[in-house]
Amino acid sequence: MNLKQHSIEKNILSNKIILLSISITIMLVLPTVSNNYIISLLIEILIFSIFAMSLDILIGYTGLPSLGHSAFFGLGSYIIAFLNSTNAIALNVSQNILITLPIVILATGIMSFVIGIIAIRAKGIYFLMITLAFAQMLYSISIRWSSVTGGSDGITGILRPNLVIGSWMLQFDSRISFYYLVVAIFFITIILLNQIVNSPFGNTLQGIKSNQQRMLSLGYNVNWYKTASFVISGVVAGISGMLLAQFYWFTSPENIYWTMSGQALIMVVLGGNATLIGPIIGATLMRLLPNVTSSITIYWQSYMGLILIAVVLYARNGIVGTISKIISKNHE
Amino acid sequence: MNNIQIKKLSMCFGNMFALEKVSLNIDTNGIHTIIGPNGAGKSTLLKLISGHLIPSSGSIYLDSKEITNLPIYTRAKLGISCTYQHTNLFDDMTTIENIKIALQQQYDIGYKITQNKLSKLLILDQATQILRRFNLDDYMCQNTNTLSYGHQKILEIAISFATKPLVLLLDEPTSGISLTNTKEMINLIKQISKTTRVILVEHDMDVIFNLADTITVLNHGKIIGQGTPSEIQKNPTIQSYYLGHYDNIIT
Repeated sequence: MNLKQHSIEKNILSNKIILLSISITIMLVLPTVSNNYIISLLIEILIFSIFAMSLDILIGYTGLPSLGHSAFFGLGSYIIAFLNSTNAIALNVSQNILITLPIVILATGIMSFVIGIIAIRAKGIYFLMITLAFAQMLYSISIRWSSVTGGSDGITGILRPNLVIGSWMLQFDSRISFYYLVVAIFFITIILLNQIVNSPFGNTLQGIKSNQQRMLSLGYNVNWYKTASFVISGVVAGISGMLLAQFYWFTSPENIYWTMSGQALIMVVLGGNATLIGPIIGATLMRLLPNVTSSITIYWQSYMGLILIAVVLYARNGIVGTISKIISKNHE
Repeated sequence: MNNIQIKKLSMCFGNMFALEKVSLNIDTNGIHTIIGPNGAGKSTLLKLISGHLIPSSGSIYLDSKEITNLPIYTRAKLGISCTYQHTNLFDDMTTIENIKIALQQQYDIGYKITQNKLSKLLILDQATQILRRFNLDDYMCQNTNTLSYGHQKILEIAISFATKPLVLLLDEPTSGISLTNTKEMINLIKQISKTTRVILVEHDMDVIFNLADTITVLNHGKIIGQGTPSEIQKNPTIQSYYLGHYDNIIT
């Protein structure tokens, strides 16, 4: 039994490495055969995939259905705007990603910790309402405190980063170079999150999702683990928000608004929660569909709605979850 | 060691007392059984010890350390483990995964984001051993919601056992299971009680007199008798309250 399980685990690991290597190669080669429009679309897909994966940690792996995840996405975008933009309010700390990224991680980490320790005390629909309330509160601040946030106009002139190590410098100004930066962060995020969900910590989160009461009686400090999951999720969302703001050279309250949380939620549900790969597929569909179908119909959102209804009714595990269920049934 | 001391413990639900000034000292080795008719306060007492309920007044001690207001997980870490009247498993996980999640806590690695191969194999090996001990190794890779109710109840105890508790609280472990599973359960509890103090709430008189080393009888939230099974059987007050029928059956 032990040997069998060991060899299965080994196979899964080698399959994952092969899949990852193929994906990285495709991503690296793609810009050489694509135009600017496709590269932009790919950047958007990758950024939203990171955002959706961050929400999957919370919903899929910890069982905490948040509708306020845009708070951290928006926060990441505003923090980078304050740190480095041509706008008068910017502190212009540095353009070096080795300095700005840790600041974004720290700030979104602190914010998600503060919101997290309050929100995780509620369950189910109440958790959803608390997270939504926090996000709407930040949205309101971003609209009203216009001297700092630029109000509903947002903040423009956000600079794309560079990487400076000693006298060596790499600029991510151009679309293609920024694409490669996003690809790198995307794969680092996948590897890290995959490590987290397959670790003892990941098992603990899944145990909490499955049966919180039992976890408590086994001696797990459930609130501590839920807060940790909330912080990880918030930080990753913040990084994706930062990247989007740098890509568009712009951020606005729209990034914090609840519809942004709703989009991420749809990506996770559509692709399949607790899979990590599912939210990537969800994000890809959500970004591709309007681009592909807008020339054919203006009602693409209605079609998206129909697809979502079908998934929720007939394929609750999402696209990836349903496919893997069918495959495992066939194997049996 | 592993003594449970209860001092003037009361639990009030609205105007109704589920337990009223109960004092109890569980310091003898073996299996301590709490019996009483429905609504006597047996399960409430167990929930107060495990931390699922916080008492209205009174105090609980584990080896002279007060645990009255400690949360469930802290009590579990101190060595108090419980099983539930109705099964409470990780339904979407396999049998072995249920044990592994308990072992993970036992080895204090639940927070780690890396795990070396040796530790993985150690936990897998231990989980397999525990399932073998509880005769569940045939169902190792089966989802727990596909197990029979009897096996679910046994798994419930196996999960608690995996945390190596000092005190194991069992709430009606044999209710709703087959005769074969009941016999298996009695043997398992007897085995566990050799290394762990067991506090058992049970209705089935055969199980009680088969297992109990000491018995506490509750009625309407108050203790009406304590002693060994033979002392309890001879106690006229308890017979008139509760055991009359059983006494007739065994004589």
